[in-house]
Amino acid sequence: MTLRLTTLLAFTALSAMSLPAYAQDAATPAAPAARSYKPVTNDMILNPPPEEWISWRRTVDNQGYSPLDLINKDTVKNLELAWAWPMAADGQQESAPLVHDGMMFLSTNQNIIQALDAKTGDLIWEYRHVLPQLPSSWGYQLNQARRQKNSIALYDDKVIVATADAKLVALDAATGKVDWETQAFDTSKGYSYTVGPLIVNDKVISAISGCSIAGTAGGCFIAAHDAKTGKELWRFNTIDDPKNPEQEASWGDVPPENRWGGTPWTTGSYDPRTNTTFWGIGMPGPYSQLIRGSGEGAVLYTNNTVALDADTGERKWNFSHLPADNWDLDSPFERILVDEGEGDAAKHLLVTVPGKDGIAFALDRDTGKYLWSRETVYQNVVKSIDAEGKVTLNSDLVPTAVNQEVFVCTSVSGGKLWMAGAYSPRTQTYYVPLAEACNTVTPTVTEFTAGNAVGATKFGPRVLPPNITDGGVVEAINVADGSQKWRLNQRPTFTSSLLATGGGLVFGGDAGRFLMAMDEETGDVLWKTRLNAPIGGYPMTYEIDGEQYLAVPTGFSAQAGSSASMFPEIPVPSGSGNSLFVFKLRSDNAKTASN
Amino acid sequence: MPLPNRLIAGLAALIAGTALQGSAIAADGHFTAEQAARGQTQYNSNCGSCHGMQLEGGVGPTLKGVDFLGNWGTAGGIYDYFSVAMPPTAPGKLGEDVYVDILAYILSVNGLAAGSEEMTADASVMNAINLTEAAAANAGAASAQTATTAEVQFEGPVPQAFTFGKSLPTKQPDGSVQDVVSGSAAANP
Repeated sequence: MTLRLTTLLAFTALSAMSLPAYAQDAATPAAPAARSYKPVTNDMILNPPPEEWISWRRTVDNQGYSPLDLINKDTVKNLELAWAWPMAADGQQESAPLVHDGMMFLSTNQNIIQALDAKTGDLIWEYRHVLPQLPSSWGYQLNQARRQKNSIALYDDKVIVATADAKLVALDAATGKVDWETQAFDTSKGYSYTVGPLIVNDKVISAISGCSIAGTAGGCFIAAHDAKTGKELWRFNTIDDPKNPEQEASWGDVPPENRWGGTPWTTGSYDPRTNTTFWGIGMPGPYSQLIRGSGEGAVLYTNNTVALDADTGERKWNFSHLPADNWDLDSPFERILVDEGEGDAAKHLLVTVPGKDGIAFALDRDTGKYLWSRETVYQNVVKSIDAEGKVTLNSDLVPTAVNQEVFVCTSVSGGKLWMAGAYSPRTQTYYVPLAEACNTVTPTVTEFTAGNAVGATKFGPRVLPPNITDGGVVEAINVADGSQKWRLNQRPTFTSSLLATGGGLVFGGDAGRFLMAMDEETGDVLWKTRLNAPIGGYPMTYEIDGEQYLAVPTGFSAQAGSSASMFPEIPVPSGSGNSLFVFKLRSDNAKTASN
Repeated sequence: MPLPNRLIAGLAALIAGTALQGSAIAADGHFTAEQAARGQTQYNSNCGSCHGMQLEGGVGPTLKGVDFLGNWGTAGGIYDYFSVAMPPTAPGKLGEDVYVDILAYILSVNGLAAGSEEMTADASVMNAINLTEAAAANAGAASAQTATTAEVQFEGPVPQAFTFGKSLPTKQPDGSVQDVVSGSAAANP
């Protein structure tokens, strides 16, 4: 008995010494931080150290590319597990780990933020944001905390968190303690952050979500806040712009108080050369123009790219990728900035597969001028795109009566979805995860209620297009002209974002739980391994002490669930299992200690 | 105290809402209590881990309340979707009887009353079970609950679609299209 007690005491004492700091909204005494932290500067955000991943897609041009090359076509076969970590909450797996100064910052659902030692996987601190209690009848809004918590941002000595209750919170990066907090938007109306912010010149530029919830009528916003204080500097309304008569006219007779949608569901990109920030905007609400009451109007700026002055939020230009959406085929996905050529001859492109319909576009990002577009997966909603970039829809698929069902490709789950593609400057190629899918779409009428969505549409199950058996697709697109470099087809859909590296590899994974490394030139799968759950979030890479690490989130995937009937031979697990797996090369592949 | 939505949402909704408060609706009586009980067992085994044991949602969306009911329009709408696509571990593989029983349970949790005859996979019956009506009844219950238990409340009337309460061309079960006032019980036949 004495022995057991002694052992217990010894264990307890040891635990107390090594316990990580727990930071909470409620005042909990936290252990003093043992480690220093090197602040992230504005310049570092624009030009991050090669071995780090300090923004959502590593660089604010949103390329999702790392120059690291220790893990390459030759060595990838030698990857082995370095460490793994269970995430703190269930929910849609869209985590985007960040690494700076040896620390990994991990954002999971319910706005739980964890700092881990990026080399060892030891917890350093944890912050649990306390979310307000919502009525159980607010089904859609309750779900916001469980979905699309994809990223956080690093600035100075802070971690900037955008929360499900529409707050911006700045945490001390070394301790996890709250530095400042601001209620950016009114969560009782339905506003909720689901994507992380972009940091530009001491400003937090963020986009609010929840704009499909009834109470948010009339406003959906991209906004800038002072990164040192949280004070709002400007906001841009994506569905009501009195400065632009064309925008107002595009909603027909519908006044702002009956407009919804226009959610910028994806973190924007930034070009320091012109001080411009680029954002993709989502679909309009209600989904059908019949119910919306907007006639054939383009309902700007839904399904647009908007270019804003980063200092003022003033619109420079906008481009409509899918005017007059009737099928919830949002176009908010990653806008990637790419330069072709050098000097005066350089072309400054914005390349994107902006919407669920999977059509790839390139624009001149200085002017918004259309350069090229190309279909990727099968779609039947866009009939043509002319030389000026004007999109003509298939009018047969625009419902003219309530309860009229139309068969639409792609499906409401894409085509393209939140899973971001990656661009490699080595190959001038944009690698994009896609899916072949269709569904029926039927407009309905409902009375809108607090905390719930205004789609007023019924969707049928996700099915494969006629005569297609492989739903999962990765396309490699030459950004010079939009042509296809290669295409990988397989039965299970891809459920993670992609990562391109200086090792000539493109990493990503699928609903069948396979993580794979593709050859950037051919799409050949050079290495794959099977994990515990669908591959999710944003695979990323970093280097510490001469060793390159590959970090891969896994877990619950609504995309795996909604597409499971397309590949029934590969059952999706019922456990969610949200986790992070970190790989590195077997030690004989590491750089020497002197490096 | 928020105004009940019905009072400002147009005459059609006013009539529908008032008639439903605390009384039987046409969607009632299409399944038996035993069937819903069987469905509960199947639901707990096949669906609850994602959608919650009280249908409150988890990693999957909630399966109760006005948003859920309004999204699908009719019981047939739910059946057509989930009998093909769910559960992700075995999409479409549970068998017709099991899907129908689970649907009966979902409807019962959403406040639809059991009757004396079991529901079958008969599309004409399922498509006639109007969930928009049930949603309106749910909305009344929800606003009462909001006022008493939750920290966050929505102030003022809930904004409605520009077309709500106006006449819209609406496809009928016989395939014809008639102008029907949006939000009325006849709008989702």
